[in-house]
Amino acid sequence: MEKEKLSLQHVVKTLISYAREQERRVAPEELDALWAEVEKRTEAERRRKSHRRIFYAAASSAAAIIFCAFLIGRQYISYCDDDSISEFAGQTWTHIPDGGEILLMMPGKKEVEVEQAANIVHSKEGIITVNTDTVGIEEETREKEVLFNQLIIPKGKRTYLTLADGTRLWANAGTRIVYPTRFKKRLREIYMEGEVYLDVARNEKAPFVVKTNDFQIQVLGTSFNVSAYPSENTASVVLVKGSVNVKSKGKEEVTLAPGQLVDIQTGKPGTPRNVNVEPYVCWIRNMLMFADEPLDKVFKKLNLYYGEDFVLGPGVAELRVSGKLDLKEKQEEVLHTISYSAPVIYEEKGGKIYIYRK
Amino acid sequence: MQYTSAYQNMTDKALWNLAVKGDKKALSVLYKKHYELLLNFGLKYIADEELVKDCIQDIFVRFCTSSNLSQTDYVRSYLLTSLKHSISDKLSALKITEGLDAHLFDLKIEDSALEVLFKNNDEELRIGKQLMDAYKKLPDNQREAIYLRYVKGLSYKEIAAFLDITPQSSMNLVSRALSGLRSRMSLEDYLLALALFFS
Repeated sequence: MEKEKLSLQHVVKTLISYAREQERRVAPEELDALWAEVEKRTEAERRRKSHRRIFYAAASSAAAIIFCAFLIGRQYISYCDDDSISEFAGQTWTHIPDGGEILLMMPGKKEVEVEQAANIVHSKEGIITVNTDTVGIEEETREKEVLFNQLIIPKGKRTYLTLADGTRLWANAGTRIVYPTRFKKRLREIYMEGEVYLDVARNEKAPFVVKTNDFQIQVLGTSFNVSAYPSENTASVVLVKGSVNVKSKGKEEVTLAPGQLVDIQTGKPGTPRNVNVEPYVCWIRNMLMFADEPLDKVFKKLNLYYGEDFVLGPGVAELRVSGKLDLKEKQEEVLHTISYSAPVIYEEKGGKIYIYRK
Repeated sequence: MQYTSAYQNMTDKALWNLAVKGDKKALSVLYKKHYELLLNFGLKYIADEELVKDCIQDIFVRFCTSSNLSQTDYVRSYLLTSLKHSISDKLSALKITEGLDAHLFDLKIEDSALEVLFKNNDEELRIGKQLMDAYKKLPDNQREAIYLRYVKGLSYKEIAAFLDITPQSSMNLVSRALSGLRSRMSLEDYLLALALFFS
């Protein structure tokens, strides 16, 4: 009897643990992706609800219509400077990964992995292509519903993006761009972190606004470079041609003339100064230019471009260099060029590259 | 992901209280913590993974957009109930009626699996087969209770909250299920109940 009880217990335990093992498991990465989807849908839902509320009110009675006209008016104003794009950006991503593929995320569609230096084009008709492959078609959305695409470029990668209005963007490594699936009629708005060179298609009726975490740039049609890496405490805007207006969160504004640069430090724009724009924008041609700059800055950039970790030995960071680096060359050759012009040697060890003073 | 540390040690109830106040991160922690429970529970209901996953997304989007989430002491039960409703709503919207009533909470332990599990002991294999046969013959709600209690480790109180009955009735339900198992087995009568309770 005692023996039977024991074997029964054993059978029950075996069955229960077998049943537990049979349960479906979900990997943490999958959970993160699934939750991101919940957030995206939540945002869309909230937007849809707030518009629907107004619609219902308008339909109900005359008294409500007066009230509602006021509401719509207010809604319209807040719509103009509503910050749904920054809100969306703040909710959807915490950091840009150090490695991996370029990702294009479109609401309601599968994530698309994009190859290095690919050309992503959103046509006026809403067709989305990567190089020559069609990856999606924007469906007609309900009027006023705003959904966002998101492009993530990890370290070591780069890509080109053409928006539906004809604006072209060169997105540097370690960058994220959020943009609506369809621009509003009177406002073209994107959000970015990292570094982007923009060639904005001119449209006087719809100003183009680039938002970052702590400032925004408004333009009509022009070419300029924005560098706003969250990891660095100074962001900068350099204007190549046209005119741009930079506005900080604290509502301080500066207007740039061609050839001018403004630094934005902790959300405060400095005084615009005249610069040679070439070093700031030549990265779009895969070049890096330095004019008497410390090596730690050089290696920070190289870390972004190649995604490789550089460890600087004592006395290396402060060495100052000037000149050009051609990033189309292999990393090996670039390092060789540096060690040729500055008194340093390099050594690869355990997946990192160590730079020592000679 | 700096938020995980601050939320990781909180009880479900504390997290839910934050969620009621509109804390989305608390909801995301609960989501990630109980996603597997919900998915597996849903799959015991209907073996359509896409549909179950959609329903889980639906209920959390609803929690995120709801301005008045209700308080609950038993978060897991609340989540399971919400999912159950969401699945049956979706199925009735899709006009699918089959699949729901038949073989709910089937543990899908085939005879071949039993033969591997108990390959060195014919006596245990025989008991195992008898147990699984008996389990299959139980009413749905009793199978559900056994699954939640023993496979998922829910307490009687949680099962009670989920089924919306008193904890005493939930104990009764589980023990009725167990005695149901007992009466369906030719041997081992009360020992089975003991074994299950002490396992």
